[in-house]
Amino acid sequence: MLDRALLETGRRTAAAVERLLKTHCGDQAELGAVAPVPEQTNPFAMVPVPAVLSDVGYIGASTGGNIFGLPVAGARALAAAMMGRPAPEDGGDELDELEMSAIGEAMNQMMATAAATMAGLLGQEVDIDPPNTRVVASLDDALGNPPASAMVVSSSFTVCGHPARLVQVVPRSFLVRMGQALEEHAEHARAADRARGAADATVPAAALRDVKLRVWAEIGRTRMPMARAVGIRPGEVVELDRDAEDPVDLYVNGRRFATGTLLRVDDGDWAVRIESLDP
Amino acid sequence: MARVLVVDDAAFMRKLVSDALTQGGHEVVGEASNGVEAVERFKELAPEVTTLDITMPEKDGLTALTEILALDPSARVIMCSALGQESKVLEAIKAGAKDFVVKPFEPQRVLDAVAKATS
Repeated sequence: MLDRALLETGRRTAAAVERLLKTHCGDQAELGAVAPVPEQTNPFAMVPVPAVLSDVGYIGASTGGNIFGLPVAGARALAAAMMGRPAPEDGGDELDELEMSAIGEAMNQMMATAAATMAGLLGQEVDIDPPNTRVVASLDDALGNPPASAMVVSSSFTVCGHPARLVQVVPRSFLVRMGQALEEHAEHARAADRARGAADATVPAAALRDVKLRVWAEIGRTRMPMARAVGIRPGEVVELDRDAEDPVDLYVNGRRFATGTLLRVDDGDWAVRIESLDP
Repeated sequence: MARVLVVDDAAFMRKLVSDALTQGGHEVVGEASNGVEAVERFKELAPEVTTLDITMPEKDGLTALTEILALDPSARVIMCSALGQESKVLEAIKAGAKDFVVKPFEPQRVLDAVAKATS
Protein backbone atom coordinates (compact mmCIF):
# COMPACT_ATOMS: atom_id res chain seq x y z
CA MET A 1 0.00 0.00 0.00
CA LEU A 2 2.88 2.39 0.77
CA ASP A 3 4.36 1.82 -2.71
CA ARG A 4 1.07 2.79 -4.31
CA ALA A 5 0.73 5.89 -2.09
CA LEU A 6 4.33 6.87 -2.90
CA LEU A 7 3.77 6.61 -6.65
CA GLU A 8 0.46 8.48 -6.45
CA THR A 9 2.09 11.26 -4.41
CA GLY A 10 4.89 11.49 -6.97
CA ARG A 11 2.53 11.50 -9.95
CA ARG A 12 0.18 14.15 -8.64
CA THR A 13 2.95 16.43 -7.43
CA ALA A 14 4.84 16.07 -10.70
CA ALA A 15 1.68 16.88 -12.69
CA ALA A 16 1.18 20.08 -10.66
CA VAL A 17 4.84 21.06 -11.13
CA GLU A 18 4.53 20.41 -14.89
CA ARG A 19 1.50 22.73 -15.07
CA LEU A 20 3.47 25.41 -13.24
CA LEU A 21 6.51 25.03 -15.52
CA LYS A 22 4.24 25.32 -18.56
CA THR A 23 3.05 28.74 -17.35
CA HIS A 24 6.68 29.86 -17.64
CA CYS A 25 7.91 28.11 -20.76
CA GLY A 26 4.84 26.60 -22.44
CA ASP A 27 5.32 23.34 -24.32
CA GLN A 28 9.02 23.36 -23.52
CA ALA A 29 8.24 21.70 -20.18
CA GLU A 30 7.29 18.05 -20.26
CA LEU A 31 6.84 15.42 -17.57
CA GLY A 32 8.36 11.99 -18.21
CA ALA A 33 8.43 8.91 -16.01
CA VAL A 34 7.62 8.86 -12.30
CA ALA A 35 9.28 6.01 -10.41
CA PRO A 36 10.34 4.99 -6.92
CA VAL A 37 14.06 5.41 -6.20
CA PRO A 38 15.74 2.23 -4.91
CA GLU A 39 18.21 2.57 -2.03
CA GLN A 40 21.81 3.43 -2.92
CA THR A 41 20.92 4.93 -6.30
CA ASN A 42 21.35 8.52 -7.39
CA PRO A 43 18.17 9.81 -9.07
CA PHE A 44 20.13 12.81 -10.39
CA ALA A 45 22.59 10.67 -12.36
CA MET A 46 21.02 11.73 -15.70
CA VAL A 47 21.21 15.48 -15.00
CA PRO A 48 24.35 17.13 -16.45
CA VAL A 49 26.41 19.44 -14.22
CA PRO A 50 26.93 22.21 -13.33
CA ALA A 51 23.34 22.29 -12.24
CA VAL A 52 20.94 24.45 -10.29
CA LEU A 53 19.78 22.58 -7.21
CA SER A 54 16.90 23.64 -5.02
CA ASP A 55 15.76 21.86 -1.91
CA VAL A 56 13.19 22.46 0.75
CA GLY A 57 12.14 20.61 3.89
CA TYR A 58 8.62 20.20 5.25
CA ILE A 59 8.32 22.11 8.52
CA GLY A 60 7.43 19.74 11.34
CA ALA A 61 8.57 16.63 9.49
CA SER A 62 12.32 16.37 9.89
CA THR A 63 12.68 13.55 7.39
CA GLY A 64 10.86 14.89 4.35
CA GLY A 65 11.39 17.34 1.55
CA ASN A 66 11.55 18.03 -2.17
CA ILE A 67 14.65 18.47 -4.33
CA PHE A 68 14.75 19.80 -7.91
CA GLY A 69 17.84 19.62 -10.12
CA LEU A 70 18.21 21.24 -13.54
CA PRO A 71 21.41 21.78 -15.59
CA VAL A 72 22.63 25.39 -15.70
CA ALA A 73 22.04 25.51 -19.47
CA GLY A 74 18.40 24.51 -18.92
CA ALA A 75 18.06 27.01 -16.07
CA ARG A 76 19.32 29.82 -18.31
CA ALA A 77 16.85 28.85 -21.04
CA LEU A 78 14.01 28.73 -18.49
CA ALA A 79 15.01 32.13 -17.06
CA ALA A 80 15.05 33.58 -20.60
CA ALA A 81 11.57 32.16 -21.27
CA MET A 82 10.32 33.69 -17.99
CA MET A 83 11.64 37.08 -19.09
CA GLY A 84 10.21 36.74 -22.59
CA ARG A 85 13.65 36.58 -24.20
CA PRO A 86 15.09 34.05 -26.66
CA ALA A 87 17.25 31.27 -25.16
CA PRO A 88 20.89 32.37 -24.65
CA GLU A 89 23.24 31.03 -27.33
CA ASP A 90 26.59 31.73 -25.68
CA GLY A 91 26.56 28.37 -23.85
CA GLY A 92 27.97 29.97 -20.70
CA ASP A 93 27.92 27.96 -17.49
CA GLU A 94 27.10 30.86 -15.22
CA LEU A 95 23.85 32.55 -14.33
CA ASP A 96 23.82 36.32 -14.05
CA GLU A 97 22.03 37.99 -11.14
CA LEU A 98 18.69 38.40 -12.88
CA GLU A 99 18.74 34.83 -14.28
CA MET A 100 19.51 33.47 -10.81
CA SER A 101 16.70 35.54 -9.33
CA ALA A 102 14.23 34.25 -11.96
CA ILE A 103 15.28 30.65 -11.35
CA GLY A 104 15.05 31.16 -7.58
CA GLU A 105 11.51 32.44 -8.10
CA ALA A 106 10.59 29.50 -10.37
CA MET A 107 11.96 27.12 -7.75
CA ASN A 108 9.98 28.89 -4.98
CA GLN A 109 6.79 28.58 -7.01
CA MET A 110 7.54 24.96 -7.89
CA MET A 111 8.19 23.98 -4.29
CA ALA A 112 5.09 25.87 -3.09
CA THR A 113 3.02 24.05 -5.74
CA ALA A 114 4.47 20.70 -4.67
CA ALA A 115 3.71 21.40 -1.00
CA ALA A 116 0.18 22.61 -1.84
CA THR A 117 -0.45 19.40 -3.82
CA MET A 118 0.70 17.26 -0.90
CA ALA A 119 -1.45 19.35 1.45
CA GLY A 120 -4.46 18.72 -0.81
CA LEU A 121 -3.81 14.98 -0.77
CA LEU A 122 -3.38 14.88 2.99
CA GLY A 123 -6.17 17.31 3.83
CA GLN A 124 -3.87 19.39 6.01
CA GLU A 125 -1.44 22.25 5.48
CA VAL A 126 2.14 21.36 4.59
CA ASP A 127 4.35 24.29 5.59
CA ILE A 128 7.71 24.76 3.91
CA ASP A 129 10.71 26.99 4.51
CA PRO A 130 11.87 29.21 1.63
CA PRO A 131 13.79 26.83 -0.68
CA ASN A 132 17.58 26.87 -0.78
CA THR A 133 18.60 27.38 -4.43
CA ARG A 134 22.24 27.33 -5.61
CA VAL A 135 24.54 26.22 -8.42
CA VAL A 136 26.43 22.97 -7.74
CA ALA A 137 29.33 21.31 -9.57
CA SER A 138 28.20 17.80 -8.62
CA LEU A 139 24.86 16.15 -7.94
CA ASP A 140 26.36 13.02 -6.37
CA ASP A 141 25.31 14.07 -2.88
CA ALA A 142 22.16 15.98 -3.84
CA LEU A 143 19.88 13.39 -2.26
CA GLY A 144 22.06 12.82 0.82
CA ASN A 145 21.18 9.77 2.89
CA PRO A 146 17.42 9.52 3.24
CA PRO A 147 16.48 7.95 6.59
CA ALA A 148 14.79 4.56 6.81
CA SER A 149 11.64 6.38 7.94
CA ALA A 150 11.20 7.88 4.46
CA MET A 151 10.66 6.67 0.88
CA VAL A 152 11.93 8.38 -2.25
CA VAL A 153 10.18 8.99 -5.59
CA SER A 154 11.68 10.65 -8.66
CA SER A 155 9.96 12.39 -11.59
CA SER A 156 11.84 13.14 -14.78
CA PHE A 157 11.18 16.34 -16.71
CA THR A 158 12.42 17.90 -19.89
CA VAL A 159 12.76 21.68 -19.43
CA CYS A 160 13.67 23.71 -22.54
CA GLY A 161 15.29 20.58 -24.01
CA HIS A 162 17.32 19.71 -20.89
CA PRO A 163 16.77 16.77 -18.52
CA ALA A 164 15.64 17.71 -15.01
CA ARG A 165 14.52 15.77 -11.94
CA LEU A 166 12.08 16.35 -9.11
CA VAL A 167 12.89 14.06 -6.18
CA GLN A 168 10.60 13.78 -3.17
CA VAL A 169 11.65 12.33 0.15
CA VAL A 170 8.35 11.38 1.76
CA PRO A 171 8.04 10.28 5.40
CA ARG A 172 6.36 6.88 5.75
CA SER A 173 3.90 8.45 8.20
CA PHE A 174 2.70 10.74 5.35
CA LEU A 175 2.33 7.73 3.08
CA VAL A 176 0.29 5.79 5.62
CA ARG A 177 -2.13 8.72 5.87
CA MET A 178 -2.03 9.20 2.09
CA GLY A 179 -2.87 5.51 1.60
CA GLN A 180 -5.84 5.88 3.94
CA ALA A 181 -6.99 9.04 2.15
CA LEU A 182 -6.76 7.31 -1.25
CA GLU A 183 -8.72 4.34 0.12
CA GLU A 184 -11.40 6.70 1.49
CA HIS A 185 -11.65 8.50 -1.86
CA ALA A 186 -12.07 5.16 -3.61
CA GLU A 187 -14.73 4.08 -1.10
CA HIS A 188 -16.62 7.38 -1.60
CA ALA A 189 -16.51 6.88 -5.34
CA ARG A 190 -17.87 3.33 -4.95
CA ALA A 191 -20.61 4.57 -2.60
CA ALA A 192 -21.53 7.30 -5.08
CA ASP A 193 -21.72 4.66 -7.84
CA ARG A 194 -23.96 2.49 -5.70
CA ALA A 195 -26.18 5.46 -4.83
CA ARG A 196 -26.42 6.33 -8.51
CA GLY A 197 -27.36 2.75 -9.28
CA ALA A 198 -30.07 2.79 -6.61
CA ALA A 199 -31.37 6.13 -7.85
CA ASP A 200 -31.51 4.80 -11.39
CA ALA A 201 -33.74 1.97 -10.17
CA THR A 202 -36.23 4.09 -8.23
CA VAL A 203 -36.68 7.50 -9.86
CA PRO A 204 -37.03 8.75 -13.40
CA ALA A 205 -33.44 9.92 -13.10
CA ALA A 206 -33.00 10.99 -16.70
CA ALA A 207 -35.71 13.59 -16.32
CA LEU A 208 -34.11 15.07 -13.19
CA ARG A 209 -30.47 14.86 -14.06
CA ASP A 210 -30.36 18.17 -15.94
CA VAL A 211 -32.24 20.17 -13.31
CA LYS A 212 -30.00 23.08 -12.33
CA LEU A 213 -29.43 23.74 -8.63
CA ARG A 214 -27.98 26.80 -6.90
CA VAL A 215 -24.84 25.93 -4.97
CA TRP A 216 -23.04 28.43 -2.78
CA ALA A 217 -20.40 28.53 -0.07
CA GLU A 218 -20.89 30.56 3.09
CA ILE A 219 -17.84 31.87 4.94
CA GLY A 220 -19.64 33.37 7.93
CA ARG A 221 -22.56 35.37 9.29
CA THR A 222 -23.17 38.27 11.61
CA ARG A 223 -26.13 40.01 13.17
CA MET A 224 -26.53 43.75 13.55
CA PRO A 225 -29.29 46.21 14.39
CA MET A 226 -31.06 47.82 11.45
CA ALA A 227 -29.67 51.22 12.50
CA ARG A 228 -26.13 49.95 12.04
CA ALA A 229 -26.94 48.14 8.76
CA VAL A 230 -28.30 51.26 7.06
CA GLY A 231 -25.26 53.24 8.23
CA ILE A 232 -22.66 50.96 6.63
CA ARG A 233 -20.24 52.82 4.35
CA PRO A 234 -17.78 51.52 1.73
CA GLY A 235 -14.45 50.69 3.31
CA GLU A 236 -15.94 49.64 6.61
CA VAL A 237 -15.01 46.15 7.85
CA VAL A 238 -17.78 43.87 9.08
CA GLU A 239 -16.54 41.03 11.30
CA LEU A 240 -18.13 37.63 10.72
CA ASP A 241 -18.67 34.87 13.26
CA ARG A 242 -15.85 32.64 12.04
CA ASP A 243 -12.07 32.62 11.95
CA ALA A 244 -10.27 32.68 8.59
CA GLU A 245 -9.11 29.13 9.33
CA ASP A 246 -12.59 27.76 10.02
CA PRO A 247 -14.33 25.51 7.49
CA VAL A 248 -16.94 27.02 5.19
CA ASP A 249 -20.45 25.67 4.64
CA LEU A 250 -21.67 24.50 1.27
CA TYR A 251 -25.38 24.91 0.48
CA VAL A 252 -27.56 23.42 -2.25
CA ASN A 253 -30.79 25.37 -2.80
CA GLY A 254 -30.68 26.69 0.75
CA ARG A 255 -29.91 23.43 2.49
CA ARG A 256 -26.47 22.88 4.02
CA PHE A 257 -25.04 19.63 2.75
CA ALA A 258 -21.30 19.78 3.37
CA THR A 259 -18.46 21.67 5.01
CA GLY A 260 -15.09 22.27 3.43
CA THR A 261 -11.91 24.28 3.30
CA LEU A 262 -11.63 27.41 1.19
CA LEU A 263 -8.66 27.30 -1.19
CA ARG A 264 -7.40 28.91 -4.35
CA VAL A 265 -6.88 26.81 -7.44
CA ASP A 266 -4.24 27.29 -10.11
CA ASP A 267 -6.20 29.75 -12.26
CA GLY A 268 -6.80 32.03 -9.25
CA ASP A 269 -10.45 31.07 -8.62
CA TRP A 270 -11.73 30.23 -5.17
CA ALA A 271 -12.67 26.61 -4.60
CA VAL A 272 -13.91 24.50 -1.71
CA ARG A 273 -12.37 21.17 -0.74
CA ILE A 274 -15.13 19.07 0.82
CA GLU A 275 -14.16 17.86 4.30
CA SER A 276 -17.42 16.27 5.44
CA LEU A 277 -20.90 15.62 4.09
CA ASP A 278 -23.90 16.29 6.30
CA PRO A 279 -25.95 13.20 7.13
CA MET B 1 -2.18 56.19 -13.33
CA ALA B 2 -0.83 55.48 -9.87
CA ARG B 3 2.51 55.97 -8.07
CA VAL B 4 3.50 52.48 -6.97
CA LEU B 5 6.10 51.02 -4.56
CA VAL B 6 7.10 47.46 -5.55
CA VAL B 7 8.35 45.14 -2.77
CA ASP B 8 9.75 41.64 -3.38
CA ASP B 9 12.97 39.93 -2.31
CA ALA B 10 13.49 38.53 -5.84
CA ALA B 11 14.97 41.03 -8.32
CA PHE B 12 13.22 39.13 -11.10
CA MET B 13 9.78 39.53 -9.54
CA ARG B 14 10.39 43.25 -8.94
CA LYS B 15 11.27 43.60 -12.63
CA LEU B 16 8.23 41.59 -13.73
CA VAL B 17 5.82 43.63 -11.59
CA SER B 18 7.51 46.95 -12.46
CA ASP B 19 7.44 46.18 -16.21
CA ALA B 20 3.74 45.27 -16.03
CA LEU B 21 2.94 48.48 -14.13
CA THR B 22 5.01 50.71 -16.41
CA GLN B 23 3.44 49.21 -19.52
CA GLY B 24 0.03 49.78 -17.93
CA GLY B 25 0.82 53.51 -17.60
CA HIS B 26 1.68 53.53 -13.89
CA GLU B 27 4.77 55.05 -12.33
CA VAL B 28 7.02 52.82 -10.20
CA VAL B 29 8.37 55.31 -7.65
CA GLY B 30 10.53 52.85 -5.76
CA GLU B 31 11.45 49.25 -5.03
CA ALA B 32 12.35 47.40 -1.83
CA SER B 33 13.68 43.89 -1.26
CA ASN B 34 12.57 43.20 2.32
CA GLY B 35 10.02 44.33 4.89
CA VAL B 36 12.35 46.75 6.66
CA GLU B 37 13.16 48.59 3.42
CA ALA B 38 9.49 48.48 2.45
CA VAL B 39 8.41 50.44 5.52
CA GLU B 40 11.30 52.93 5.07
CA ARG B 41 10.47 53.50 1.37
CA PHE B 42 6.78 53.84 2.19
CA LYS B 43 7.51 56.62 4.70
CA GLU B 44 9.86 58.36 2.29
CA LEU B 45 7.83 58.06 -0.94
CA ALA B 46 4.18 58.00 0.21
CA PRO B 47 3.12 55.83 -2.75
CA GLU B 48 -0.54 55.53 -3.74
CA VAL B 49 -0.25 51.75 -4.04
CA THR B 50 2.25 49.25 -2.58
CA THR B 51 2.71 45.67 -3.86
CA LEU B 52 4.05 43.48 -1.08
CA ASP B 53 5.53 39.98 -1.28
CA ILE B 54 4.60 37.77 1.70
CA THR B 55 7.73 35.66 2.14
CA MET B 56 10.80 37.90 2.56
CA PRO B 57 13.93 37.96 4.72
CA GLU B 58 14.49 40.50 7.55
CA LYS B 59 10.81 41.33 7.95
CA ASP B 60 8.01 39.45 6.18
CA GLY B 61 5.19 41.00 4.19
CA LEU B 62 2.53 40.56 6.89
CA THR B 63 4.57 42.46 9.48
CA ALA B 64 5.42 45.17 6.95
CA LEU B 65 1.72 45.42 6.04
CA THR B 66 0.75 46.00 9.69
CA GLU B 67 3.43 48.67 10.10
CA ILE B 68 2.48 50.43 6.85
CA LEU B 69 -1.18 50.50 7.87
CA ALA B 70 -0.19 51.86 11.29
CA LEU B 71 1.60 54.73 9.50
CA ASP B 72 -1.30 55.33 7.13
CA PRO B 73 -4.58 53.47 7.75
CA SER B 74 -5.77 54.35 4.22
CA ALA B 75 -2.68 52.82 2.54
CA ARG B 76 -3.55 50.65 -0.47
CA VAL B 77 -1.53 47.47 -0.31
CA ILE B 78 -1.72 44.49 -2.70
CA MET B 79 -0.19 41.24 -1.45
CA CYS B 80 1.80 38.92 -3.75
CA SER B 81 1.81 35.30 -2.62
CA ALA B 82 2.81 31.87 -3.80
CA LEU B 83 0.32 29.05 -4.04
CA GLY B 84 -0.36 27.37 -0.70
CA GLN B 85 -0.31 30.55 1.37
CA GLU B 86 -4.09 30.85 1.63
CA SER B 87 -4.09 31.32 5.40
CA LYS B 88 -1.49 34.10 5.22
CA VAL B 89 -3.43 35.78 2.40
CA LEU B 90 -6.63 35.71 4.46
CA GLU B 91 -4.73 37.11 7.43
CA ALA B 92 -3.44 39.96 5.23
CA ILE B 93 -6.90 40.77 3.89
CA LYS B 94 -8.23 40.76 7.44
CA ALA B 95 -5.42 43.11 8.47
CA GLY B 96 -6.39 45.57 5.72
CA ALA B 97 -4.72 44.58 2.43
CA LYS B 98 -6.89 45.63 -0.53
CA ASP B 99 -6.26 42.67 -2.83
CA PHE B 100 -3.81 39.89 -3.61
CA VAL B 101 -2.25 38.20 -6.63
CA VAL B 102 -0.94 34.64 -6.70
CA LYS B 103 2.38 33.91 -8.44
CA PRO B 104 2.84 33.10 -11.22
CA PHE B 105 0.50 35.78 -12.60
CA GLU B 106 -0.35 37.43 -15.88
CA PRO B 107 0.69 41.13 -16.09
CA GLN B 108 -2.98 42.04 -16.54
CA ARG B 109 -3.81 40.57 -13.13
CA VAL B 110 -1.47 43.10 -11.46
CA LEU B 111 -3.02 45.96 -13.41
CA ASP B 112 -6.53 44.82 -12.46
CA ALA B 113 -5.53 44.70 -8.79
CA VAL B 114 -4.09 48.24 -8.95
CA ALA B 115 -7.20 49.51 -10.74
CA LYS B 116 -9.40 47.91 -8.08
CA ALA B 117 -7.29 49.25 -5.22
CA THR B 118 -7.41 52.81 -6.54
CA SER B 119 -11.05 52.87 -7.65
